[in-house]
Formats: sequence, structure tokens, C-alpha cells
Amino acid sequence: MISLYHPGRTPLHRLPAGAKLLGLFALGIALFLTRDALLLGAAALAALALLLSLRVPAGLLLRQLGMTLLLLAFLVAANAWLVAPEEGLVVGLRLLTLVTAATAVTYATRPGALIAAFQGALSPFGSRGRRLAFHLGLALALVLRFIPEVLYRIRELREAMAARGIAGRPLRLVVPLAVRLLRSADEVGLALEARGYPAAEAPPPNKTKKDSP
Amino acid sequence: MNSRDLVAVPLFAALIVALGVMPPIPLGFLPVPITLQTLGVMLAGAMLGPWRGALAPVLVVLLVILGLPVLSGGRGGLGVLAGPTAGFLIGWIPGALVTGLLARPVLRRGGQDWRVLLGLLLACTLGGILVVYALGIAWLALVGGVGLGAAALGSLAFLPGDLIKAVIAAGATRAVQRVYPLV
Amino acid sequence: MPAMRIEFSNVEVTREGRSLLRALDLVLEERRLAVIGANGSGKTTFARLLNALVLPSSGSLRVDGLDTRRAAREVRQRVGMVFQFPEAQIIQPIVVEDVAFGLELRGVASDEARRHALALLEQLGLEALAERPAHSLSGGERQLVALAAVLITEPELIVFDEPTNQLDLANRNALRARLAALEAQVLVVTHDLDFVADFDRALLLEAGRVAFDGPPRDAAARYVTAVSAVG
Repeated sequence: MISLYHPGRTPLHRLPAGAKLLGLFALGIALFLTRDALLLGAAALAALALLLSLRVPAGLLLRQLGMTLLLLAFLVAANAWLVAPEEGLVVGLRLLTLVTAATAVTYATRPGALIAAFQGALSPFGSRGRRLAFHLGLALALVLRFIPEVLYRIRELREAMAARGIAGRPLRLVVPLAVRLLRSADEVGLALEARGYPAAEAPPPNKTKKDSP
Repeated sequence: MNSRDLVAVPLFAALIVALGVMPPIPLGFLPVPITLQTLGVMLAGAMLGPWRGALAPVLVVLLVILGLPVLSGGRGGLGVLAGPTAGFLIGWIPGALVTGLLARPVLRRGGQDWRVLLGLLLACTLGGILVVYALGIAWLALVGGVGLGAAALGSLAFLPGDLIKAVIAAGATRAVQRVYPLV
Repeated sequence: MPAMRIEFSNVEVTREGRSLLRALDLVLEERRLAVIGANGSGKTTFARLLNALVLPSSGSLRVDGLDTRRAAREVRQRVGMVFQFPEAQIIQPIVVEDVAFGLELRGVASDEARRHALALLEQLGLEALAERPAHSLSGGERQLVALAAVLITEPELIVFDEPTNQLDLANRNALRARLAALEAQVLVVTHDLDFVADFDRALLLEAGRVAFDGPPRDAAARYVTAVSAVG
């Protein structure tokens, strides 16, 4: 599975991942502290400029934000109708700013950098923190490893069902799928043990993870 | 956590993601096509139990934060969590937890088929629908400023699809329990 | 590299009331060992015993003097295992990460583990696979990656469970050549009799018992007779 990350060299790209997350969090709080439409409008424009500066193709942006923008428009209209037009403006600008800024951070931050930031945040907690960081990395890697496999199993079962002329019965698909997944959890669990899990000591977190997920 | 648990949780997280990759199913009598991701959430809770079950959507949310397009329609990233519908996503976590908490005693007690099925259906409905909607609607009302009533009304369109999913999840859990020991 | 001594003393394995392996009394110290038998003869259970994934229900098993029941971790450091379905064995999404993973579990920092993994893949002629997603590998490639992931920890014994099951003829022969070149002690569980024809010793399992113990050719002859008698 390919992340949404869009490579680039903008200032936002170069900020540390942890700083970007904290910044977003602070922005979220700040946006709810003000009701000044001018201020919110300026923030929304700044966030839009930030997102556009990343030069992500418009088609991709629309795919990510299309539904949200539609819902935003709906919320603005509902607020204007039910409460007051100014309220619609405030709510709309607030959410637009936050969603746009958050999307910009996603496009400008490698997943590996975010994982490293999470793992780094766990490091002050000694060996328990290291263990948790190790398991976090392992669990996320396992999800990415399993997604194509689950999709493959689903396709396989659908074909098997079609070949036998049973179609469109969700239970017939979900039950064998779940059984297979549980069985393969047993298998992979065994393989993990065979390869030496649980680790004698949790390895230090990855510092220069470049590629996946 | 033993090695099997360590694998089962990511496996069900992958199931939740995979169910979102599958094209949404248009149901004739519904205005909105349903995606199957919440079915995965219910299955995780009912089949893995409350704690492991809740960890599966935790992993999915983490992947969303990392910027992976793991939600239906290829969506993902922090924008989703900053948006007005974030509560429905975060709600998956307590949703799976509650599903598991309610399903576990039902599975352990066993007994007549219809009783178990009914119990599981209740667990999936309360956990996978009620809890998820409660968080989703509360968040939508809070950040969207539209009030609980309007937010709830807007979410009603998804209810029939989610009820069908609860029925499927309950039936599947019962059927799986016959061939594979759960809880 | 000298072969380890593997000692079964009256090992029985039962699960859910069913007896999977019975009365195994064996000492194995050959460098190339084969365990053959039909489906359900207990082959896979036998393989898993050696890695302490299955523990004897009664009796004891010592690998290099270590009781698998008491020293599972140490046994697993000595015994690597290539599973029947290598897709179950591949843990990480990218090949090189998976090969490195075994070292990480042993406390090696990931950068260093990665370096070792790349070097090993190159040595095996698999460097082209290093950055490939694990799910995109073919059956033969998976088997080789699984082998690399085991070799990285330099086990003294490598157990292969049905290694040729999912391989075409070319891949099977390639694996056979690789296996012959391995320095480590090797135990192959299989029903592919020809694959182990030149091994040092073969055990034939029938319904959880050792029905024959000796040179592979004779075990093969006996196995074929038994199968044709049934079939």
C-alpha cells in the first residue's frame, strides 16, 4: 500500500514530524478559541496556500478532500439556515483550515518519519517504552504485510464461490474468510516463535527507516 | 500478549482495511452505498474479544495518521481526523471494545442457536452501531455546530446498511465459533 | 561444520486425545536427514518438535544437549525452520526487512541488521528481490526469501517442512542445489522421495511411528510399497 506522502523539498517537508503533529494540535485548539471571521479567513487562506505549495496533483487532492468539502458545504448551509449565516461562516472556515492544514502535513511527511516520531515519544519510558515501540512497529508492518494477502483471499473465495455458482451471499464469504484469517494467525504466530519471538530484548527503534510503509 | 495475538490483531486490522478497498455495495433501497469497513470492526470485537478487538481499529487509525489511504475510497491522512466525520472513525475503537465485551459472555455461555445469535446481534448493534454513532454524532455536532438532532438525522441514512452488517457479523461469528474456538 | 546431536527419548505427542507421534527413540547426528511419509503420518509435527514449536507430551527431546521443553529459546537459536507455506513465515512487508527481522529479534540494531540482510541476499544471488514487496513474490522466490530469513541467524540445523510442495521442477532442482551447498545440518520433511535420494539417512513415518530407518533408497522402496498396498 502506497502512502499519500508526496515527495518534495518545501519548508513543511523539512520540519520534524513531531513538530508538525504538535503544530496541528495547537492549531486545532486555537481555531476553536476564536470566532473572528477575518482571522479565520486569513488562517484558511494560509492553510490553502500551504497545501497548494506542495504541488500535489489536483486530482489526488480532490479525491481526498472531495467528500469532506461536500460535507463542509452542507454544514455551512445547515448552520446558516438553522443558526445564523455568520455561524455558518465561522464553522466552515474553521474546519476548512484544519482539514487543509492536516492534509498538507500528511502530504509533506513520510510515514517512516511519523513512526519514528511515535517511537521516539515512547523512548523516555525505558525498557517498557522500547518494548512498546518495537511492538508498535512490528504490528504496523504486519498490517501492511497482511492487506494484500487478505485482498487475495477475498478474491480467491469470490472466484471459488462463482465457480460453484454461489454468488452474492455475504455470509458464505465472511465465514470462510474469517476462519482462514484465524488459522493463518496461528501459522504466522508459530513462524514468529520459530524465528525467535519474543525478542530477548527489544531492539532499539529504527532511526533511518526510509522505505515502507 | 502471545505471538498468536500479536498476529491476529494486525490481521483483523488488515481485514478492516481490505473491506474498505472492496468497491462499496450499492443497495437498491438505500440512498447511500454501504462500505464494509464497520463489518470488519464488528468482527474484530466479536471474534477477538474486547481488548484485542479494540486494538485492530487502533492500528487502522494509526495507519490513517501515518498517511496511508486505508479508508474506503482510498482516503486517509490527518485531514480525515481533522474533519467533521472523525468521530465515526475514532468510534471504531470503543465500538469494537463494547462489541467484544458484550459478545464474550454470549459465546462462552453457548446454548440454543437463536439465543446466541440474538446475543451476538445485540452486541454488534450496540457496539458496532450505537457506540460508533454516539461518538460520530457527538463530534459532528460539536465541530459542525449543527446540534445533536440534525447530526443524528444526517447519519440515519447509514443505519439500514449498518444493521445489515450487524446481522452478517453476528451470523458469521456464530458460524465461525463452530469450527474455530473463539474467546 | 559438525552435525548436532538430536536425541529423542521415548517421545510421544498427543493432541486432543489423538496420538500424532508415538514412542520415538532416536539419535540423529547425520548432516543430511530426511523424514518421509504420507499425509497425516506426523511429519509436520516431527519438524515442529525440533524447533520447540511442539513440545513432547511425554518423553524428552534434546537438541545439542538442550531439552526443548526447558530451553526453547536456546534451541530456536540453533534450529532454523523453513515452513511448508513460506507466506506464513514472511513477517515484514519488504523482503530485505523480513530477512533483517530475525537479527532484530536478537537485539541487533535495525540499520546493522539491514546491512547484514543485504549482504546475505547478495551472497545468495537474490539482491534483485531486496526491495520487493513480499506479497509480489512467486512461490519459488518466497521459498528462497524464507531460507534467507533463516540463514541470517546462522542456525546449526535447518529444518525444511515440505519444501518442494509448491515448486515447479526448475525451482525444485534449484532448491536442491542450494540445499546441497548449505554448510548447516539439514533435515527435510517431505514426500518427494527423489529430492532426498542422496541424503545420509531417512526415517519413514507411518501413523506416527518410525516404520523404517536407514538409507533413503531403501526407505523410498518401502514407502512406495506401502503406498501402493494401500492405494
